[in-house]
Amino acid sequence: MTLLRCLIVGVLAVAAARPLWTLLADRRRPIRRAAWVLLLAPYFTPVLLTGYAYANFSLSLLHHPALNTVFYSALLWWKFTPLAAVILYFTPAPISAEAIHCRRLGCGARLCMEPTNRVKGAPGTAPASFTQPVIAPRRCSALRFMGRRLVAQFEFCIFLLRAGCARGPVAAFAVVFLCAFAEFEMASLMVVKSWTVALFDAHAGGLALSEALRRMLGPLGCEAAAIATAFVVLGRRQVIPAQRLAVNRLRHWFAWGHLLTHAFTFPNGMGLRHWFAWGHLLTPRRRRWRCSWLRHWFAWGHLLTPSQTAVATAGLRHWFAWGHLLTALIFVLLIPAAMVLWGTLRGFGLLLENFVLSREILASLLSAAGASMLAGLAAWGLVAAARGREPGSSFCKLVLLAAVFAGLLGPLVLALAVLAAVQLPGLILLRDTPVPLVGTLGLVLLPMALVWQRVLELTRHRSGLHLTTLMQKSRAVRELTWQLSTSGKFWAMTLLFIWAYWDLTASSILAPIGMTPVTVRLYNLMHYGQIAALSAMTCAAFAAPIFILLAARGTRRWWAPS
Amino acid sequence: MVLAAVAALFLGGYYLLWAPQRDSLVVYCAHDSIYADQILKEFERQTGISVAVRYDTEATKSLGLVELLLQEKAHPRCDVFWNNEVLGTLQLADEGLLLPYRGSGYDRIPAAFKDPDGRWAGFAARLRLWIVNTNRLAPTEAAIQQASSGDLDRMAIAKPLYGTTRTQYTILWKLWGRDKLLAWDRDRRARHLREVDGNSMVKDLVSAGVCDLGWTDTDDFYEAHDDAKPVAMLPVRLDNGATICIPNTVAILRGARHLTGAQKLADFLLSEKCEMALAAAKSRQIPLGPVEATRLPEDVKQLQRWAAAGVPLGDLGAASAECLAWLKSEPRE
Repeated sequence: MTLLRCLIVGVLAVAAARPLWTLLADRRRPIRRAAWVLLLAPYFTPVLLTGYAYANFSLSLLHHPALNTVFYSALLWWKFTPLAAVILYFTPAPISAEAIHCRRLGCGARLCMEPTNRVKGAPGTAPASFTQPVIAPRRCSALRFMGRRLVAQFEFCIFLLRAGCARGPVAAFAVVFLCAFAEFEMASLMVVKSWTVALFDAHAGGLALSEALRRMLGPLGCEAAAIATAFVVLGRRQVIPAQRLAVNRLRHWFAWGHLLTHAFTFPNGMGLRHWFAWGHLLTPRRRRWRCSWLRHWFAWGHLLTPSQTAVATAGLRHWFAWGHLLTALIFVLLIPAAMVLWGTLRGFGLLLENFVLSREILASLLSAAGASMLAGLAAWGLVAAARGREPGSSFCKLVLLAAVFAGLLGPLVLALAVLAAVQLPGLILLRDTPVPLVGTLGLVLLPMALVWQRVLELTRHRSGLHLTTLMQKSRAVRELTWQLSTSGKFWAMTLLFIWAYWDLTASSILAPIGMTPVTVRLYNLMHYGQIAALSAMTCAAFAAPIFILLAARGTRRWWAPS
Repeated sequence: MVLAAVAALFLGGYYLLWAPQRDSLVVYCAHDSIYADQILKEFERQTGISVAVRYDTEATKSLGLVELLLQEKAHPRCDVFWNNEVLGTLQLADEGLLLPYRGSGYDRIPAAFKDPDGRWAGFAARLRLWIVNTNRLAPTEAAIQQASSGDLDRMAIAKPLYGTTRTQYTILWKLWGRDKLLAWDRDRRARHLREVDGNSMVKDLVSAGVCDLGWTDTDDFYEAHDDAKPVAMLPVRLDNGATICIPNTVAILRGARHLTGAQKLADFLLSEKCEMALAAAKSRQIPLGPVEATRLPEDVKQLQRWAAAGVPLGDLGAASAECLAWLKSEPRE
């Protein structure tokens, strides 16, 4: 159930991210800036805040669990679509839109030619618009056309895939899937069934580590597949020459297999065939509309790269993008924030009198800083060390693999394993220190840090950076260096820091005594429902990392390398 | 340079935050931090002994402090365990982790709520309750009986794997035996009984009118009551008319590094002053030892009368393990 939900969320997130991507790349700076702010705000909203705000609403849906699950899935979609959009933004298609159009033209008669042309005996080399009326006098002719069209589209898709146009979408899907799949806090607060909640329940009264690992095997396999997919896809850099994409019999079989899959998978598949076959009974206007619809339906490549479809529907996509951004902002951030702020206003006095969270917030900030630094250093340092041909590189590769595998276990299983390990005589000295918590969080963050390391490496402007080193040192050069190199790392580290700051599971198990992280304290108090003092504390906890990050960005001239 | 500065800042911060806690009295506390904090701060103020607390959390409720204490058996770091129920403490006592101590606080607690060997003592109890939405159902025994005899789609309880619902199931296991409890439980689930994550959720569901009735504890009930929600309560009664009164428990761990401080805290928690403070809190904990009745809130006086009919809990150790094994093997939604 969790797997299916997360697959759907992943696909929808990538589909929604395409129009968002165009907004993020808008030429007008205010529009671009507004789009970035609206995009990232829901993502940076802690799940704890969103889950806490909607806990009562979810309870009211107790008798309608399906509705509750749909609402939870929508929240996941709104929350993680920004990730997909950012990945698409940073991994543009390696070939230009013009080249893609040329390929489309060269893809052959089947892709460009209309049945009209063939019926009238015109040569099928010139591109023709799909919006031209289609005349299908015989049913078999229409079906043949559809089949040829599908094969051509399939070939075109293969071209796009092999050329690396799918890198962004597939990596985005993998990352969104991974995040949605491992989500626990919101599912728990919103009473949604998920494997993470079930694993927690299984721990009632104790569960042996081996049993916990056994239960984790299936989910771990799914997570490993997602990570591996992201890596393999992001690792492809080579553009395949066009001549190697010649159509062969095997691909035809694949194409027809795909057609059959469509026919059986989609309920409208069979109806579509009849609809197409009896097209000659339609009026020209209806035919035009039908062809436009078909073009969308069969345009597999539209997720991969800008196309004529994108241009034709740019207005609609534009409005969809803004609508999506605003809806996500309202549901993921504004409504929860309004609820919490309302409580804050009423509970601020109580906060000052009874609860001082400064210690917990400081503990969380320190743990998050330590963990994100560790993950960042491991991702950048170990990858660099593992890449060389020196004798130590193989060892570094092994260490990296082991660390990634440990990180993929997730915070619950990893924290339990670490907790058991620090009871051993050799490691007992570490038990009462922050080392186990920071180390565990660092390992949990490592897979995501590696993904970001790869994304940043692929988008690195090497020649631009080299030019900056040749230029005379000045404020402008420093700013240029920041834009070309440091800003990417800074935002990647920011993401890791935010993830670590809001971790709940590992923190609650491994935090040293007397250093309770703020998330643990808040989550514990959220057990009592929504009360004013708690809302005030949540607000304070929410503001602290934002303040730190703004301060870090504001003082970059003193610490960023020039 | 930047990395070195960040690392220095990081280590300095940790040292400042963590170093003062190293010589503190270590308390593992499963009681709600919102109430326990004030008690422990008062103890610190009175005695000058610094306390470092590790609270149980909802997030790790299933792992729990009891599990942690069992894991740390060979190298204990906890001095005092303040549990909010009795089953976990009984398990620790059976495992030989608790140190007997009969101080001034132990003496004032009735025999029904303490270990004869002095390994633990109970204080400040809660009752298991029926919580009823008064807009939907009359708060009477007859109405509850009728509502719970048909379809249970509008009745909620917490998952019996944890907390006080688990204690209630364990008591029923001991009273009825395995077969009767199993049949009773399956029958209720077949009638669409709603199982949610915790007692506070049961309270929220009933007070919002999503469900008509449910089981919860006194502290959760008074949350809704104080928010002027349309709720009423009746004690859950067993076949023999006994109520279910679940005390907090305090125990000192074997190998405690701060034994004197631990004994002082145990006496403090079992004192009249502490029980009165918890009775006056929003959770209305029921004092078990003798207290000045005139100073007790009216709500608590009523609860005290019901608590007097509480079923003994000291001999539930074996039933607890068996019942939990069954609950974990039973597929639940």
